[in-house]
Amino acid sequence: MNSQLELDVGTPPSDEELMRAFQNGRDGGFAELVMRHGAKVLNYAWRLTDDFALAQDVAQETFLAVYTRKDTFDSRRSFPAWLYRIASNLCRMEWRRRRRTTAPMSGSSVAVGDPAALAAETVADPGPSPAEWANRRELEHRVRRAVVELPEKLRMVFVLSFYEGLAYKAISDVLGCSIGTVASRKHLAMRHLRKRLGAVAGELLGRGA
Amino acid sequence: MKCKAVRKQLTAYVDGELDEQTREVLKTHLNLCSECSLDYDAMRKTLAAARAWEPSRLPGGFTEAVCERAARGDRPRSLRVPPSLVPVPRLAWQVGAACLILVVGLVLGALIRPRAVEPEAGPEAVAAQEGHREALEILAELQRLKLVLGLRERTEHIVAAHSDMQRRLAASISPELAEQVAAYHEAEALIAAGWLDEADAILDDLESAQPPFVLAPYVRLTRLAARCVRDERPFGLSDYTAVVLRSPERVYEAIAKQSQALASAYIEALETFDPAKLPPLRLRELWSPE
Repeated sequence: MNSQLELDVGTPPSDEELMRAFQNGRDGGFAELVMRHGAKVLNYAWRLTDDFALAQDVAQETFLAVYTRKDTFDSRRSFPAWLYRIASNLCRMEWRRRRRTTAPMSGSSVAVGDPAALAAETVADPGPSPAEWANRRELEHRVRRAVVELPEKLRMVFVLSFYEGLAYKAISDVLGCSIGTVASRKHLAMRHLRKRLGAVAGELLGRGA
Repeated sequence: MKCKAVRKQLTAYVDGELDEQTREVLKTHLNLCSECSLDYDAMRKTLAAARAWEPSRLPGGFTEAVCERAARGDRPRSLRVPPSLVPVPRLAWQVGAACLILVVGLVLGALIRPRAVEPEAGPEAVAAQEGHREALEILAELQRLKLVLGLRERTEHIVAAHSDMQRRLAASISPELAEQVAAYHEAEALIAAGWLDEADAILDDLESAQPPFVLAPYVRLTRLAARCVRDERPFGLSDYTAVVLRSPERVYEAIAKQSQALASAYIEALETFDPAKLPPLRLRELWSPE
């Protein structure tokens, strides 16, 4: 009945096939999906929250939700869209929770466990000179600040579109809004980023980085 | 195509989201217009700079940890307690019921005043949607309630609930109206976040929309709310009535007088009650008798 799920046939199974296998009781499908999409979900949550430790939590919770709600997934639809929708909802819940407890989310400070902090501690990388490295860190810091300054709805669209590479249609499926809304949010996000990054952007490209 | 229209579409152009014909038009324009071309370059540079936030690798042991937690039967924290099982204090429900009655009262009020909310847009706009007149009135009533409540932090949930009802109503009328209402909500969200210029641009579009936007009369109130956000003061009843009473439409005056007492009671009840726990309103039953 599930001959299309045999995993040893040349081409790797699609996400949706893996999900179907998982729904039919094969946990191997789940592990494969975590391996395929773990980094994407982690980076999505990181760029939404600017908090790497929290992003790891969100990523874990996202996959636990996939596990516990596997039966609600319709395998005719896109698995990544479903995954991003769960992660988006978890981030929204976290924003709401933090708003109630007054702690602002977007500190844009480098947190413990943050890859940048880890990199800073292990400066063994002989690649860029210290000055270049400092410039790069400064630019990254500004980008992070500019992105987390975006209102939540614009930030979600920008991150999904620019960093995750999703088309407007896919984003509209994830966020449950129209393609026109996605386009206008992305446009507004770009206006903000241009205002905030315009000068540094010129400098960066001027140096040929 | 004019420069303004080109710039509005530049983001979609860079994202490869335009149809081929529009894409070609933009491409030609960018070759001929140095100002738009500079704009395009600036956008590309911005995106190149944004790449500086590099992605992280998955920490070692992530997959194993998730699979282990899943196999152990760990549920996601946020899903552990289904919302329906969260205990709600008895008093809260009583206040909730009071709020509900007030909202229903206000909505019914809109229904029994046949010309309660007449859009400035002119009779054609209403006539075009004659079959949905009552739904449109409720849509406007919800907007008025939202404005009475203002963009105050403590009423965030109830404002969101009103927006949700508007969204559903608009979608039941026409896709165009749904799109306009979505844009209006977008502007409100931007105002709440302090992005007043961006919100203004959307409100400008809505005010000059063709066919006229049915909530256009409320746009100026929304702009006033935006000024309150800018001045860091709450948008209260006095702001609402000040604008409403100054407006040439006498009809607003009556509405303002009638609803002010109810709205005050409504806001007072909200001060002590978590609106997130309000049961959903069954508006559809209210406006369609069958």
